[in-house]
Parts: sequence; structure tokens; C-alpha cells
Amino acid sequence: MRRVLLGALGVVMVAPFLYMMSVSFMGEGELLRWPPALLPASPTTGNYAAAFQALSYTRVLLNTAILAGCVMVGQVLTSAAAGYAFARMRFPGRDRIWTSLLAMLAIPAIVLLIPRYLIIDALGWVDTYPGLISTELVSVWGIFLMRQTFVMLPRDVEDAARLDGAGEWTLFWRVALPLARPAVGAVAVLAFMDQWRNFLWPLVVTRTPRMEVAEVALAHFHTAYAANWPYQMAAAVLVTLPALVVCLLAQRYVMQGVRFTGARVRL
Amino acid sequence: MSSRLWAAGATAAATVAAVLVLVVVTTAQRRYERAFALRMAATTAAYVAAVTPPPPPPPSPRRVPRGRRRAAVPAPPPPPAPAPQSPAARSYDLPSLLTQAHALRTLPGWSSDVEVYFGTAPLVDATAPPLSPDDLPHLAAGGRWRDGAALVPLNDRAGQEVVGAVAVRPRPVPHGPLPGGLGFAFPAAIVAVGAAATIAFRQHSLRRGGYVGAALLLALAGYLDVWAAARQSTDRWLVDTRRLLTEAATRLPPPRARVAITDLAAMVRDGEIVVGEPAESAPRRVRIDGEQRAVVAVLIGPGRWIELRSVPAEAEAPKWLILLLPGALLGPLAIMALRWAERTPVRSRRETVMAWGFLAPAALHLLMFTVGPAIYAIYLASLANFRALVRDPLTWNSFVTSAAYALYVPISIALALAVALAVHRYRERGGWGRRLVSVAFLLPYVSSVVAIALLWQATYHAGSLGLGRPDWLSNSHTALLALMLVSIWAHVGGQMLVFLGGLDAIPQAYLDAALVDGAGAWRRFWRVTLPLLRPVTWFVFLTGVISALQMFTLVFVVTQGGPFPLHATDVVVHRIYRTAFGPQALGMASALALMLGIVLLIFRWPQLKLVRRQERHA
Repeated sequence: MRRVLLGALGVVMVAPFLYMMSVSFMGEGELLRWPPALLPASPTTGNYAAAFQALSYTRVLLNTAILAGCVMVGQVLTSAAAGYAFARMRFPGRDRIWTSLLAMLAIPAIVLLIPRYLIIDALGWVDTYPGLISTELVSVWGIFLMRQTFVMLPRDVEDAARLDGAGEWTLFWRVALPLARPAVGAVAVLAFMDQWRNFLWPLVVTRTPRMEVAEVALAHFHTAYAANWPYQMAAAVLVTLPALVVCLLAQRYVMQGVRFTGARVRL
Repeated sequence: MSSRLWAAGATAAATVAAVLVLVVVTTAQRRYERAFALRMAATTAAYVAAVTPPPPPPPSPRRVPRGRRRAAVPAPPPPPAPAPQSPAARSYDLPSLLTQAHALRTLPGWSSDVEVYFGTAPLVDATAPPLSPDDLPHLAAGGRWRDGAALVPLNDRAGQEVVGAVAVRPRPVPHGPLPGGLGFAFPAAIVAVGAAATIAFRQHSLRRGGYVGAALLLALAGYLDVWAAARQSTDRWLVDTRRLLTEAATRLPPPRARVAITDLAAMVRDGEIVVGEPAESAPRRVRIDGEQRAVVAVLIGPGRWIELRSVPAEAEAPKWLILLLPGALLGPLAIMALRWAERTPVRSRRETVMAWGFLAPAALHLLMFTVGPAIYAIYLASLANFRALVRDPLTWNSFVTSAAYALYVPISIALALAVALAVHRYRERGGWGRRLVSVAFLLPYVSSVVAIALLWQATYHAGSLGLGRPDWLSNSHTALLALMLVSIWAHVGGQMLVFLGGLDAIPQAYLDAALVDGAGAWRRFWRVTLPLLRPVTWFVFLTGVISALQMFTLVFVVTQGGPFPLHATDVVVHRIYRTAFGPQALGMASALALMLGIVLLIFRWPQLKLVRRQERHA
């Protein structure tokens, strides 16, 4: 019985996506009939070819990959370095700085949106990769997660390495970071997924189709082809597919991210 | 470190900080002078365009003398009507332009030198080097600063084409009230460096030496100088433009018996002209409709006064404090660092330097893109904006809408918890089935949010066909509910997985003990499971509410805040976006964002407390 319940819930979760796939193969008029067709009468891949063109899919995908990739690398490096400093090093004012860092979590992103836009505008970075990427490169949550991880690592290995004459940098890069690999993976996947789905900031900071990321391009595609559902669904599948692959490959880390963020979707 | 060396280092640090402040002040003064010159040049170009008449019409073609052969010759085509908009007719009469340009040079009481170019040729000082031919097309994009003069395009009479340029070279004026035209910053810088040197060489403590006070004084003096420069740039423009307006009143080309104010107002686009009263000649600051304005009275004819108004440049001078204060405080900070380094053993000094090396990227980024913007946001959102927002019914509507939308959070959590309890301990351990099911639950967490929005819009659309009426999203009463349903669907799977993780962490022994004590299933849930799950539940609830109150994409893609006119789904973030990037009311949008931020703080505070407790636990 309980297995049935779980299965039923799974079906509810997957069904809309399957429907999306199905509609994306339909002809334009098929969705206007009652009862609505669940499967395409004569499957066509024409929608995909057309959406691929109209979305300028490769360019948009490249932009999104550059954004997500750069932010992922940036967040992992800055989070790991800062987290290590807070966990393992002693310096004046450390605890006070750590508290004020946590207090920064209380500043919601929406408050920062407009001033950040004005700063990027003043720097002349609107509609460029630096403008798109630079504001996202550090994550306080990431620093928090990395510090937790480093605090919990056993010190024995480090002490042994220190006795062998390893410097602070070697300790961090060769000893602590490899041991913290699960946390690094979680921060990386979280950063990647968040940026892959980031909408408001790219919407604000890009102007031309040349710089658009997938989400923004899909939203603009929606306004341009408002009535043609199969066409839009094909575009939606195209945009969702890469993230889906990442999810299947890194399911463990995604789950970790979901748990860490308290299961929130930035709708 | 020897004390001599230490003192020299401290003095050097103070000097660097003082020079930094002076550089900022000089930059600001130069910026304001350039802004004045560019503005003055634009006004002068408008003046020249207004007072110079068009060239005389070309001589009409000679008539064929009437003769006997007239009948034999086919009638000549009628001469083309003189097109009023031909480029030549839109241009200026060169002799008049020459006269006007010379008159500008001899205008008494002007604080700048002016040059008018017709084409690329200078008119006032004929021996001056001409512009290069590619300058004019470049100028069409706007004015620029070149060789100590502001260069702006001189458009033809219809304002369509660039026919020349106007250059305004501001004459140097004293920057401050002190002898030699010095401002306050220079003496303050000397005092600050002196104070630093004294305390360093006499080995006083930083607090007793009063260097921090001197550094703050330096910042204040620098700010005063910048403020004075800003004020001066507005005043100069007002006074010089007054001169132009008086001149224009007598020079506007005939036929005009009496100059109309609208003619003059066309000349001063970045200012405002209203009918005025006699007043003293110096520019004043007055409050008009709650806004600060710089005004000056202008006499344009016997007994006819007008008032020239402008936004005072010093109103935005405080932004320079962003550079001035850190610059001035760099000195005390550097000295403190030196003092600390002197006292600390080498090993922990090295560790500190190392730690800051690790922290530096994150710290600099957070200062620039989090702390700075947060302060900037407060500065942008003025009290007047808050007052206007509180009066706007759309503000209240958006907050109510967001709050109503956030009600889905407890519903989805209750659902997720129920399912988690139902399937807990009966799940398949490992294996493909379980993996597939959890991938299904994670789908909304990884798929594109816009795609989710589109697919649900399509689903609602398809579902409405059979009912023969508009779908839920187009109905004001159901649109928000429809969005909440989507949100429940998107969240429930992940939340359930989190609860399952929480349930796994509850030791079976607790439940067994309760069972032995004769507690029923219901009692076990209320007394054992739920209290142990409370931190997880709280955390999921708080993050859920926080993210629900910041929902944007769904509304932006699906309903755009509609159905209108009720603004049924106009949530706060959508309102902020529309305010900021629709009418460009950035200050208003920032104020609205701050209001939302305060509401979010109510939920963020307990969330951070939970996080800290978990951190200490770890």
C-alpha cells in the first residue's frame, strides 16, 4: 500500500514532464481540441528544429554554461579558502568577523538587486559576461558549509603533514581540500544549479539576445510565440535537458543541496 | 621593529592616506568643473541656434524674358517650391553667426572662454586650430571633454544635423575661501600627517594622539571642498546662463516685439524658467514642492523678471563620502595594523597574514557586492519614497498577495510530512526503484523554472478547453490559487525527502521505549517524532516562507501580475521589478525592496538562530 502511495506521488511528479515531452512532438493545432490529446497523433520533430533556431540554442547554452561554470569555480574556491581560514587559522577578530558574516545572510538578495545593478552599470558591465558573473562569485552559505566541514575534519592528518614540513598552502590544497570533497561537490552542484536556474539577475543585467542565458531566452521565446504550445514545450525541453543530465549524474550532491537549502525552489 | 622604523612607517601611512584624500578631492573638483563646462556649452549652443537667423533665401532663378518665341518653347517646369527643410535652409547665416560668436566672447561677467565652430572652422579666434573632419560625426553622439574645454555639437536650426561645435573653456576659479584659493582639505591633510608623525615619534598611543580625530577631520574638510565645488558648478551655470538669457532677450531675431518665456525655456533644457519677481542677484537655494532647487532672478526687459531654476549639484555630493571616508580612515587602520604587528610574535603574525590571504577574495567581494550595495540601498530609498509607497494601494496589494501566496508553505509541508510518515521504513533500501522515485521528486529542483511555468500554463490551458470557459490563470479569483498549486507540486517532493532524512535520524530506541510504555501511534507521533523533527520542520518552514515571499519568475512568465485590473498575482518582487525597470523609479523600488527585507528579517532571524545552534552542535 505504502509503496503504491510513493509510486503514485512519483507519477504525479513526473506526469507534467512527460506531458511536456509529449506536447513538444505535437502539431500546432492538436492542443486546441477537447478532450486534450495525451499523445501526439503524428509525432513530428519539426518543433525542435524550429525552436533550436529561434532560441539560438547553442549561443544561449554557451552563455548559461559560462555563467554557471565560472560561478561554480569561483564559489568553490572562495568558499573553501575562507571556510578553511575560519576553521583552522587563528587571527585577531576571527569570531567577530564570523558573526558579522552570518549576519550578512540576513540581507536578502532582492534588497541588493538595484544597487548591484547601478554598480555594474557604473562599471560599464551591463550586457557583458563580467556583469553577469561578478556579483555571484561568493556565497556566504558556501563559506558556512565549507567551514562546518573543515571544523569536523580530524586534525591528525594535518598534524602529520605539518610534521613533514608542509606549509599552510600545501595543507589546504593537498590535505584538507581532498578530504572535504563531498562538501566541495555539494557547493559546486548547488552553485551550478542555482545559476543554471537564475532568472532575475540575468534578466536585469542583459540587454541583447547575444548575452541572454537559457532561462531568460525561454521567457522571451514564450512572449514571442504565445499561442503555439508545442513549439514552446520543445524549447522548454531543450532548456531543461542539460540540467536533467546533471541531476542524474550528481544525484547524491543534488539531494545534499536540497537538504542544505531546506528544500526550496526559487520559483 | 625598531621604534624609529615604526614611526617612519606610521608617518608614511598617514601621508599616503592624506594624499589619497587630496586626490579624491581634486578629482571631484575637476569632475564638477567639467560638468559645468559641458552644461554651459550645451546652453550656449542652444543660445546660438536661437538667436542666429537662417541664411537669406537663394536668389530666385531668372525669369525668361517674355518674347514672341514664348509659344514655341515648352513651358518651363515650375520652379521647385523652396523646401523649408533643405539642409541649407536649416543652417545659419554665416555673417550673423560670426557676429553672435564675437558678441559671446565680449560678454561681460562670463566665467569661461567660448569658441564657436562652423563646420570645422573657428569663428571667434580665426587663428585657432580647426577641428579635424572626423570630430563632427563623433560629436553627434554627445558632448566630450578635450584639451581643457567642453566640446558639444552645434545642431542646425531644426536640430537634425551637426553643422558645427561650441567649445567652452572654463577659466580657473579659486577652489576655496583660504588665501591662494585653497580649500580646507589641504591644511587638514597637513594637520593629519603632523598629528600622525607626532604620536609616532613621541610614542603616544593612537587614541591619545588624536590621529583618528584628525583623520575624520580630514575627511570632513575634503567633503566640504567637494560640496563647495558642486555648489559652485551650479552657481556658475546659473549666473552665466542669466547673462545669456538677458542677451537673448535683446537678440532674438525679428519679428518679435516681446520675448516670450517659452522661447527662452527652449534654450535651457536642463533647467526650468518661470515668471519671477525682482530679487537679489546672487543665486539662492529654495525649497519648491519639497524639492531643493537653485534659483536666480533674471531681468529680461524693462520691469520683466523671470526665475531660472536648476537642480543643485551639491544634492548628490554625499556620494563622494564613499571614497573620502575609507581613504581618510586608511591611515589609522594602517597605523593600528603596524602597532599590532609590532606587539605580536612572528608566528601568529604570519598566521594572520596567511588567514587574510585566504579571506581576501571573499572579503573584498562581500564588501563590494553585499555590504556596499546594502548601504547604497538604504541611501537610495529616501523617506519621501517610503511615504509615497505607504500611500500607494498597489504596495499594500502586493504585500497581501505575497502573504496569501506564502500560505501554500504550511500546506505543502503538512502534505510532505504526511507522505514521509506513511512511507518511512517501508521504502526499498537501495535499488533502482528507490533511485528513480527520488529522481522524480528532485525533478522540480533541477529543471528550468521558466520551463515549469510554461508547462503548467500549458496544462491549465489544455484543461480549461473542456470546461468551455477561461482557465484558472485568467480568472482573478483563482489565478493565485493556481500558482500556489504549482508551488506545492514543485516543493512537496523535496520536502518529503528532507523529512525522510530527518526521520531516519530518530533513534528507533526512543520509539520502542514509547511503545513499551503503551503509547499509541498517534501519541508516539505527537510526543516523540514531532518534537524530534521540530528543528528540521522549522528550517524547512522558514526557508519555504522566505523563498515564497521572494517569488518572481512564475508571476513574470505566467501572469505578469494580472489578471488586471485587480493585480491579482502582483507579488512584491514583481512590483519591485516593474517599479525599477518600468518608470525607472529606482529609489522607489529600493524602498519597496527594503520594506520586503524588513518583513523577511522576521523569518530570517529564527532561521539564522537555528543555523547557529546546528553549528554549535556540530
